[in-house]
Amino acid sequence: MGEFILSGLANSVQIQNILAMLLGVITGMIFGAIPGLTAAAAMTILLPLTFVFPAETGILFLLGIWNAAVYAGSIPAIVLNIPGTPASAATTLEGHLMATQGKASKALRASIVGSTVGAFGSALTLLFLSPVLARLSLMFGPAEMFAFTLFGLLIIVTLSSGTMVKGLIAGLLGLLMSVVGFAPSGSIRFAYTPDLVEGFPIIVVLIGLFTFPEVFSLIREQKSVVEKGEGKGVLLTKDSFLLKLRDWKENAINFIRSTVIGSIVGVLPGAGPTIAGFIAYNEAKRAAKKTQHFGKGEVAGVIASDTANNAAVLSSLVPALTLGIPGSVDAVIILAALTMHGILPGPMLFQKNADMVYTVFMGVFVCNVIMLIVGVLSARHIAKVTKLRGSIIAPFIIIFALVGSFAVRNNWFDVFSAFGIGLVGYGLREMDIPLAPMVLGVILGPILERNLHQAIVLFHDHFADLLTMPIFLILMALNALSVVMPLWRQIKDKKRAKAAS
Amino acid sequence: MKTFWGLIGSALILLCSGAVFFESFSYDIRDRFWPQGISVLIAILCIPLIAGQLKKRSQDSRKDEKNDLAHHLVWFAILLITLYLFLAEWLGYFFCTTLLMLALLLVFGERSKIMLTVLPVGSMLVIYGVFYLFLRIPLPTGLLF
Repeated sequence: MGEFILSGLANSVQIQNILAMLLGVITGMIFGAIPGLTAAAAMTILLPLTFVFPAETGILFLLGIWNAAVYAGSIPAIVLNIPGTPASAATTLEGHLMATQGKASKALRASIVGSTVGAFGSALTLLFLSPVLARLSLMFGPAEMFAFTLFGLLIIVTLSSGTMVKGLIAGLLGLLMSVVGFAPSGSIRFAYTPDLVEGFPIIVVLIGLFTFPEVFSLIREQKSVVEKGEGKGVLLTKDSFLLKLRDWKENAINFIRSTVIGSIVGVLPGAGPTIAGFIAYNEAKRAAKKTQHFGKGEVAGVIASDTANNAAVLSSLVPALTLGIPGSVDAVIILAALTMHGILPGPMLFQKNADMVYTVFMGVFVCNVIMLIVGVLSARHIAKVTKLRGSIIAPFIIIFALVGSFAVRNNWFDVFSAFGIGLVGYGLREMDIPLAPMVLGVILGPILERNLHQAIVLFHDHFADLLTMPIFLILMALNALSVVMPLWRQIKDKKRAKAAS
Repeated sequence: MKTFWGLIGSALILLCSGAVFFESFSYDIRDRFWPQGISVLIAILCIPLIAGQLKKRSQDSRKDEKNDLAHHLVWFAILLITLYLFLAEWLGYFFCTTLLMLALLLVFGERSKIMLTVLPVGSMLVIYGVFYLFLRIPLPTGLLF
């Protein structure tokens, strides 16, 4: 294995591979930063280009796009409170608050560092633990996936601390929105127009919920992002090149924990970077000594979500490469590229194409170094967007949100949908109902319902069998703990406050 | 005022969950238990939401927010975008989007002629180049392009 790693490293630093990765990273960053355009769109459009490259160069080009797009989704999430891709939805929670305090540059650096660490950790996982993780993913049946997705959904409890009822309503409204279209049984529900047969596309919902309420708040306040928060109009750009030593020390465990979460969540089919980001954010908040800093612009929140979502990107390749089972649309495109080059994914891949596989694995490390350099160098300049007046930036955001929602399916109905959902989001925000739980509900709703449906079909007359499934039981115990613990902590805090007064 | 709209909003949420609940009866039991379960939970949670807002309303009924210019700007922007959504497919995306951008800039108080020219034209060129030419996204061209 050692010689394969060394030859893989030597191959990956060849000039054509480095140029392909650089091109992929820049393309991915552009696509990721524009709400509505995703890594999958970029990879699909540029897939034919990989024909002219050797197999490993083509795959590295696509991985560069994918990784960079997931990172770049955090750029508008931090700067404008609009996630560029669904994977960055959790980054808005702390990232944009940092931007309003004038710390956009620090948040962007935390984001790129987190993304790089997550991708590095996940690449190591890919290199050494692929077979183990692939076996783990096979142990997750519908019941386990249901319990796991429920775990993701219960993050709402943490996201809505202080406004539990409103948070739960938002989450349930998200779930309700996700029932439009195909039901797990195959029939169609609540699709009053043919455009709704497949439901609301997640990106359209994201654009609607995040963009329009934010734009309307910019219009109302007629201020720049840094002026409307606690930034008092001051943009802090003189940060350390990467992160301060103190941030590294304080977040060492956060980096490791988020990488592990991302790597595990990534291998589970259908879960992906979005859930990984939310779970890692939740765990970072739960583990923090000063929980009260979360929700006020805490750098650890940005690090957690971005480390986990990029870790999940690469680990979702594990079942795709080792078993030939893609866990996401993006992994399907990578599989398609491999197949087009005559390489068959599956258990024999590591024996038959070891050279190519290890070149790709080692190339991932190089690719992340390229992404880190580009990201760090651009952070300070991108942060300046937060100084632009609301009157200038708002029309831009509206125009790009409208074209972005059209680009999802080339369908004008989606533009109407995004705007309509945006108006709903604006109304909910005016009622102080948080929107992040709603997004979580929309994303997790279909996965939760599908797995519940399958589990019921499988266990309909012998539910007691569920009690013999250790993974299911562990996950359900964790679910119970994730509800009980915050409530218990809340009661304890109240008692302490009462005693102090 | 905010609590009044809050009450209206809560009533709409309740109404929406009720509509989903009753509409779901037209589907098979396998397909309706999930949306019906969700709508029941929403309806239950609406009770403390409405109660909270009624309590808030009695506490600060005198603290009505000013219907200031900023609120009107938001409503005007909503009106412009709605108009645009209906016209763009018919008149053409690029023509209508340039006009929308110009109108929004004017409404939000931009008066510099350079900005009013460069921003709409520049953003249209970017969208035309990236989305229409490079990505081949068939943006509706309509009567006037």
